[in-house]
Amino acid sequence: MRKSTHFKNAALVGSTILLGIAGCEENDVTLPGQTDVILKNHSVTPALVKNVMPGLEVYSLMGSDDTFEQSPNFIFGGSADGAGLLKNSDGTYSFLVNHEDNFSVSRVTLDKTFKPVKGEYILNSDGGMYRLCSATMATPAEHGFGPTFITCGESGPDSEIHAVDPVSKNSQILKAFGRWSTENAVPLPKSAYSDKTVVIIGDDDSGEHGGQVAMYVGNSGDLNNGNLYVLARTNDNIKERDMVAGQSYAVEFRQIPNQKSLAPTEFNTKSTELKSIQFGRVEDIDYRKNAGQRGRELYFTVTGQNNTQANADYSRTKYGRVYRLVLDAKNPLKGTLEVILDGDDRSGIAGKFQNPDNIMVATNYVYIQEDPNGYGDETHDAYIYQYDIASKQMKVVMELDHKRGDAKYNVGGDSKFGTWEYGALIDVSAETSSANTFMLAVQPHSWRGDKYKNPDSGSKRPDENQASQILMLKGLPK
Amino acid sequence: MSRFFPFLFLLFITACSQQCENSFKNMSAEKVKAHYIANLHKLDSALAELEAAVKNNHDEKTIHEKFFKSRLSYKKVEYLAEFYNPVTAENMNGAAIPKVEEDDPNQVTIEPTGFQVIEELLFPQFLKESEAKALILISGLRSDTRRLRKMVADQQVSDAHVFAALKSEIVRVIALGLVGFDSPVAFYSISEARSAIGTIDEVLNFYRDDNSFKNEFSAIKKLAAQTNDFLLKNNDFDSFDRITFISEYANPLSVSLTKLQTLLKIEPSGSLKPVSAHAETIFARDAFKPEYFAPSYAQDISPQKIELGKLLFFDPVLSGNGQRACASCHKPELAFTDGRAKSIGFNFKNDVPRNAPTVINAGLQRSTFYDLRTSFLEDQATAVLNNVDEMHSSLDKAVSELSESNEYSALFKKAFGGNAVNERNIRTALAAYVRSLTSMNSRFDKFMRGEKSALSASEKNGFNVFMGKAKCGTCHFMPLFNGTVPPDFTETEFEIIGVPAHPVGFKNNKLDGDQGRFNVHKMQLHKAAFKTPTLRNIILTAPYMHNGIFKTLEDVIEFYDLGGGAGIGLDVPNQTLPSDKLNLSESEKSNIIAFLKTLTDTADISAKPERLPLLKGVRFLKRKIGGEY
Repeated sequence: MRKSTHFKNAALVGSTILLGIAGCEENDVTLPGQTDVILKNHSVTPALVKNVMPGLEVYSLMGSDDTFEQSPNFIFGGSADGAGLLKNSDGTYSFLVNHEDNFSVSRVTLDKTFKPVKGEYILNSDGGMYRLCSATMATPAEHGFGPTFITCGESGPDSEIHAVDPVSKNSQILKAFGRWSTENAVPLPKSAYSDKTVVIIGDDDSGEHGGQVAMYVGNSGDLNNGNLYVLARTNDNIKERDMVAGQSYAVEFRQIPNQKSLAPTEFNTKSTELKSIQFGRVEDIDYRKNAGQRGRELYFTVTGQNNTQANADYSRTKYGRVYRLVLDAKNPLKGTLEVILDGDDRSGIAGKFQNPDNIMVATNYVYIQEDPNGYGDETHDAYIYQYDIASKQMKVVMELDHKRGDAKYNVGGDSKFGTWEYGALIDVSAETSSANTFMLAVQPHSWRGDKYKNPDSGSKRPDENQASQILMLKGLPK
Repeated sequence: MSRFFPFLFLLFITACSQQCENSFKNMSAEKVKAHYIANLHKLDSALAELEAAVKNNHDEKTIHEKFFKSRLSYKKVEYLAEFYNPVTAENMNGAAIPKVEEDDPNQVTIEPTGFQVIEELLFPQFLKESEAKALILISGLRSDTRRLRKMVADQQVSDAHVFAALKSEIVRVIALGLVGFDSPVAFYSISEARSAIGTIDEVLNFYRDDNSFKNEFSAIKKLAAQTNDFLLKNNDFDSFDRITFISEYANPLSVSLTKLQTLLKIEPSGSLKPVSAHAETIFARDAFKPEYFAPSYAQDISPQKIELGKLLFFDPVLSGNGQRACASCHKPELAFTDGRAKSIGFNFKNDVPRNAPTVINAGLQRSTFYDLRTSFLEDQATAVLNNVDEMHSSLDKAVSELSESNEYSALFKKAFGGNAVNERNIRTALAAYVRSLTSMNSRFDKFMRGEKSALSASEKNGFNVFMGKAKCGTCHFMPLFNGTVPPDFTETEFEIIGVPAHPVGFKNNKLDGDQGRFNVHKMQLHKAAFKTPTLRNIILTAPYMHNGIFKTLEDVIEFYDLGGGAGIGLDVPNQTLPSDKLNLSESEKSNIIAFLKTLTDTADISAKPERLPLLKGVRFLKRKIGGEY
């Protein structure tokens, strides 16, 4: 559940004007010149994190208790998850974010200094339809199409994937992407394959067919007429934990034909027929920026599921894993897969994993955010980890701060270990012309109240009453 | 343009000789889709009228009429809504029971939505204070209706899907609708069945072609009309003759649909499903496919694997002391149970925590164990072997004992090929044997397949009460009579019924301490929830309930008649069984038992092996087939 996005070098959008930054396919170089952005605490709510790594600045940008001057009645909803930022032609910014448990998407306008000034819902629960987890803002400069906010339904076999126009608010269902309990659908940058749009889709499913890694391949910019595939090992082994850290496995994507004609449950049965790998809930996916692979080096998290029910044989991860998938330069349907972090090795470097969920991959580092499943053996609140790709070392960047003892954030009594989670962590250095600058969504699930109830006024989540917040991070190494 | 016309015309003729049939059928599916979309618009209008009636304070009678109209309207879209959008359909028409996601550490309660929740607000009496809640739920239903329209817009509707959806709808009518599953307070079930069956008739019109299969189409149309008449004339919920309706109308309709599909050369979709797409009804002898419920590595069930699994099931070599076998507690002569409240533990001193259930038809469930903690029989086998109170052994130990036997090694090789005595193959063989213990050949099944003399009048009455007034069929779903939910049969449910701790009487009792499903994920909402067990062979499997507390079926029925645990005054949080009394008469109760006795069917599956393969080691020389107990 729950997720993040990435996109850099965003198109500069103002109503219909797109000023794509041509030629920056893989660059994440902070734009030269002045920035009007002033990073500061704009929110009345403190940043709900602690044990922050030295050198990292954290600012509380906005939260559900804040009032924005141009929209005094807007309440920023709970469970902020997948997000994306666009810089507008007038110098302001549009921040789009999923409210997972509200089934809605809000759009917050920030002024030139990055102060939130206005909020509105561009999809309420009637339009959102499902639990909306991660999301990706696709832009012409980075992906060759858009700007489009790709946001995914994760509510069982009905779920489909939305493409929302961040300006006009129109939304479309991407039928060709298939139907999964989708966490995120991540288009590769246009640098990855010159004539194709390739989208990797994570299926957060714990049932008997497991979670799939799926792939959509269409002609450049075409999200409707391409083919759909699922990830399998070339030796047909479907068991996730038969793969171990330190080895490399040959994999391929196998086609699910005529996907637009399938009934929802047939996506799972076809995957099983194709002997796809059955992962223990695939969560977020991201690609490495500015490295030699031009966006074909991917990382994804498998969050894990308890070793009962479909995982009673413990063939899938319980505490979570991070994988690296490197796609062939010529053919996106072929590649190699490696386990780079294995939470089930409790004495290994990922031995503290409590179900990794969102992931953000920069140039040298992978950032991994936890969302514990609540097995009862949690020892800490959700961490963000920093994994150094070159040295293979990992350290903790921060931990959520539940403020136990403060009833405001602990409605119904002190929250248990690991009952809060993160949403998106997105790199906004390019948009804000501010080096090493990120936005982070926090979902403090026990921060609830009547004033946060059904902020989008839809009919599908009338009793949803969580609050959440967005932080700014400055100084996170890439 | 005219220049090219003759050429194009010729091309069309040529192509038509190969593809006309297909294009005709695809045209039919397009028409079905248009009909569905038009009916979704009508549903929205009906809901808008209901919304207006509630908002404008119309009298209760008007509101009930508008609700009735909306229900009938929903029944015209239900078959495709359920097929293409099962989650939305559940939002619209699911049980009014709160849920929780079992991987949510916050245990957030997901409140139910849709018709059944609205029904509870409108019936029996609509109170003003329910208005706001009713309005938001109706608005949610309208939103779901729009969502169905939006989602079907780009869906390629196929003929195979249309026929699969129509056949499912017949099952939904007989196994859920007519039991009162989705009209539990208003009891509109029979009118709703008419609406659903009428829709099937309308949809088939799109496949009608004046030149082919004229007789078949006429026959099915006539049958649909007769079905409609029967429902029109017999519209009292309690006295509705369900068994006659199913055997004389619904089943023949399903058979005709299947035959028509074959004649029209509409190939069913190839995906493995719990019920074969080729089965004419769900009562066909081989309708159910236990391999659907197997893990993907074990779906190829061969006679050799079954035979090996059978030997292992009866061989005490699998236990830690070489004395206990699976068959010790699962005895074929008692439909694979042991006749005890709780089975004797491995050490012969203490009992195990729960009653030994039958393994007949255990392969037709999504989940195994009373607390549903494993999905596959293969993993259940591992858990039983490892359990110190049960087999007190391990697969590892079993592999080493079995590999030393030349006879077993040869049998494994025959079943699996190669060097095959390993952990996975032991589990796979045991599960293959249990899946072979699938049988749908009781007197009840024979009656449903057309043997009219198979059931007596009181047995038929018993079925009607079971499926109607007594509501047994709302949880013990026909035709498996377990918790596997029709018409898809892909999920297995659990319920909270408040089973007491003491057998004697229903006064001053207390709730059994076993927390059931709660122990698996620690969800408060699932305290004392247990899997719904099958009622097939029930007369052989006493005593009853997870703790074996009831010795007789009379006791069980008395318990339900009083409203379960909550009905006898126990504090049962979240009981999913209504706590109202059923007010069954003595003859209704005895008829239900008479019906349950028709579900016995062990004849073809109870044979024990005549001998066990030779093993090395003196301690195995005297081992008993089926073990000590």
